Amino acid sequence: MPLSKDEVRHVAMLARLGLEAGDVEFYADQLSGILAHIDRLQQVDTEHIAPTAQVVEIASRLREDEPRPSLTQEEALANASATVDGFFRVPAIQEET
Amino acid sequence: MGSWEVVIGMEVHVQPKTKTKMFCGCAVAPLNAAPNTYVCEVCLGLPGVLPVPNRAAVEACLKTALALNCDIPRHTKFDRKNYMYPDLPKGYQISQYDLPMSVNGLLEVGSRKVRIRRVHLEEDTGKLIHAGDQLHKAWESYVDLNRAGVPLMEIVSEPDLRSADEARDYAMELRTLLRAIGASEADMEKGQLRAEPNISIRRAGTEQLGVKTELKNINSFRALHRAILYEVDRQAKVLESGGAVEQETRGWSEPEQRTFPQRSKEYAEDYRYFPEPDIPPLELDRAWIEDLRRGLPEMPSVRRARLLEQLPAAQVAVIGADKDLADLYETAVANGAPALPTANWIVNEVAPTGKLVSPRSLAELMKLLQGGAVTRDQAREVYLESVETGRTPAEIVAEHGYAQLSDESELRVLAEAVIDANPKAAADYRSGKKQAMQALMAELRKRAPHANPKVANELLLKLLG
Amino acid sequence: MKPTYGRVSRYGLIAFASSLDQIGPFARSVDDAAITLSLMAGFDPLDATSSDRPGLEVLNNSAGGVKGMRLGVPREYYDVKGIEPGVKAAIDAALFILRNAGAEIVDVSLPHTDYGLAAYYIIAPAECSSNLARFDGVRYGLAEVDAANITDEYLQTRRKGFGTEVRRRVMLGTYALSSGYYDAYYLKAQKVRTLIKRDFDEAFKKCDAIVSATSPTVAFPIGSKTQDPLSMYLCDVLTLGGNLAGLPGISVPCGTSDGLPVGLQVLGPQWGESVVLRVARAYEEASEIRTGVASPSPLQGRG
Ligand SMILES: [Zn+2]
Repeated sequence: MPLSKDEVRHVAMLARLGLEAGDVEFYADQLSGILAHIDRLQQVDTEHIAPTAQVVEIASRLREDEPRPSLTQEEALANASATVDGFFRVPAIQEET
Repeated sequence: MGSWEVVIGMEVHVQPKTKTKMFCGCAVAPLNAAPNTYVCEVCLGLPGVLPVPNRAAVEACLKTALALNCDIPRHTKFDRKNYMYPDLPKGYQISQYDLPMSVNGLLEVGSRKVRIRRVHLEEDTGKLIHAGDQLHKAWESYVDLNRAGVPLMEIVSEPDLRSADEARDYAMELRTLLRAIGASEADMEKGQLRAEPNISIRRAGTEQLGVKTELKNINSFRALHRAILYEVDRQAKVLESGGAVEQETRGWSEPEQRTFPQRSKEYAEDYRYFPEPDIPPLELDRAWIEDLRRGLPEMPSVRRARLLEQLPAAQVAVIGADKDLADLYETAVANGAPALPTANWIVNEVAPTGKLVSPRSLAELMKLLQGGAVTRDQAREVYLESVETGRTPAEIVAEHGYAQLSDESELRVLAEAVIDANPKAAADYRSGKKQAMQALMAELRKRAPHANPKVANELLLKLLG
Repeated sequence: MKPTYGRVSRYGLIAFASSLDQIGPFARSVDDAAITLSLMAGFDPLDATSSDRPGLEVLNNSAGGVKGMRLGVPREYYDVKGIEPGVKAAIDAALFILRNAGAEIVDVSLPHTDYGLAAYYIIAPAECSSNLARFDGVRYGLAEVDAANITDEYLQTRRKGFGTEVRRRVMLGTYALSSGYYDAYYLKAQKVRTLIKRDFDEAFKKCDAIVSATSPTVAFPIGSKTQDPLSMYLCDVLTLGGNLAGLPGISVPCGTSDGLPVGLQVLGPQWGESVVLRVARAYEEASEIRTGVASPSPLQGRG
């Protein structure tokens, strides 16, 4: 089924992908084309089929509760664009409109 | 109002007792650690890293589930809960969605049977500090990821609680249980136990659930109680004035003693849960589960019932709520300590300070106190010294020369001397002024500070009678 | 070569689609690939999906030849829609060589082949959309630090930092997981994945390894299909099935079409790297391609 422009905007917001001029039309067109192909999945009868999330059966291995060295604060912050007093700095978190 | 019924379900997040984080080898940071000093490639969410679950966290979760009478499935899996927020390094939280570690439990709180919907395992987020202190006024925020990736158990109850009292008692009972089985320190002030009540009200006698609100930011049992009372009152006022309760998350403000809306509904999140591909489903080996079940200590409710056969309810309420106190009491009594005096001692002297001696030492001290070898004040000093040095009460008493004078012939000489030296007080007493005895006792204690007051008092009575 | 899912640790590999990603060697000869793989493989305590299963005894086995082996040719792959005549001719020649070397060529069927691409382009982008969420500009990488608020910072940083194909996949994957579409797309794709894996399980009851072209077409010019992603994705139709089923596979050169190289794909059952390498090695030797491309000896420099 084709994607509406509103759906594109909604999905872009969920994915936190900014939209520039022409992006909405571009995604709507391209994703609709791919989804038209993907819609053939609906033809397959999967009534009694279990989903496969992991294809290889690997026994679960748990980690022993033994500490390993952490990074230093300097190392942890080394690649960040903005830091303050040992913290990562981020712009305002606005929760209301 | 008056005709409202309160309906509360609880979501409780508990930090299990582990040395390391949920999916990496970073040590769990102590409180007040410098920011971003307990982080590694994995919990920072660097590209190319993978999560490996911590056995101790899984074990603590399973023990908790067993203690809460939950069913444990043969397989469990982790899922990704996707949302972007600066305290969540990977852009998703590893949690459990449709195959949690356990389901269908039960916890009895007083006479209330509270059904447990599920107990599952997930990872904690980091911490945010907002410039200007308040989120909605902050121009920027600061991120500390020490807490990111610390294990969390989420214990979700059904909406079976009916009052603020019950909700608080439920949370306290959970704490007692978690400590008893060694799954968590469950200290609310340290954020190791976070209770988030879901609250709704309905007309008494109706079945339909009302619209609920979820409360966050609650840091003590007292705050939990107050927040619920406030919220119930708020909802009742809204409904009674013809309004509708909005389904929302509200924060409790301790300074203002009120709840306020925390997150706007303007943009509803869609968490896009899907199975975590980096962690194979866990097979919960039956032999392992049975081992854990066998290793569980006696449940606090069972122990309380047993203590109630020996002690009054007031003492059991204190001793039965804390595994360490109950262990101390029972072992001391097994070592010959008298039951009620020992219980009183624990309630009055141990519980408030949290300072524990060995049960053997407590038994010894209680016997010394009972036998009159030390006074109560002296016993308190001996107790503290024993806590600090680990030496036995008998050793400490001997060293300080605390031993009381209880020998009757010696005390009789003393008592006679006191009566002779205070003829007026003696005469007063004989003529019916009973309070004159106090002056005689004071005089006796001045002459012999270590005199056993009980024996001395009896002797004076006898000589004057 | 792509090993069985779980054969090589993914720790350190920037994740695209976690349930599909697997590291494999590129090499100038099958022997080099085998040696390299033997060094890369094994359990890693930092990757819970890695395994130390056996099946890597390649160094002793790869020279064993294909005499007596049964090689399956899936008819859905052999006659795949859009296969170029030149590619088909190269594969026919390869099958002839393998038969001459003593292999028995048998017909097999992979009935859900037509759905592999669709399932893959739900599962991979879904996982990708989640894996790439960490690129948010906070702890590393590009960041639009002057954004007015955190949401704008995310939006701008990610719009700027991701290329067209990445953004397309992030969008597709986010959509497939979003509320209301999860069952129709993601869950459905996972179920079809089960069926595709079963197809291979059935096929491997009849043969030791599966052979086909690696792609129905030879390489297209860079950038020629960016406006038509579906036709670009369709070039992967012969490798997606093995990928979804977590199988080991290798592509070895098998001649040219229009002057561009054609690849022969050999797929084995899970943990069957030794079979895959043995078939590839036998073909390489019999076809004398090895003499044209191989370095003087495995893993030795030219001095
Ligand atoms: Zn870490």
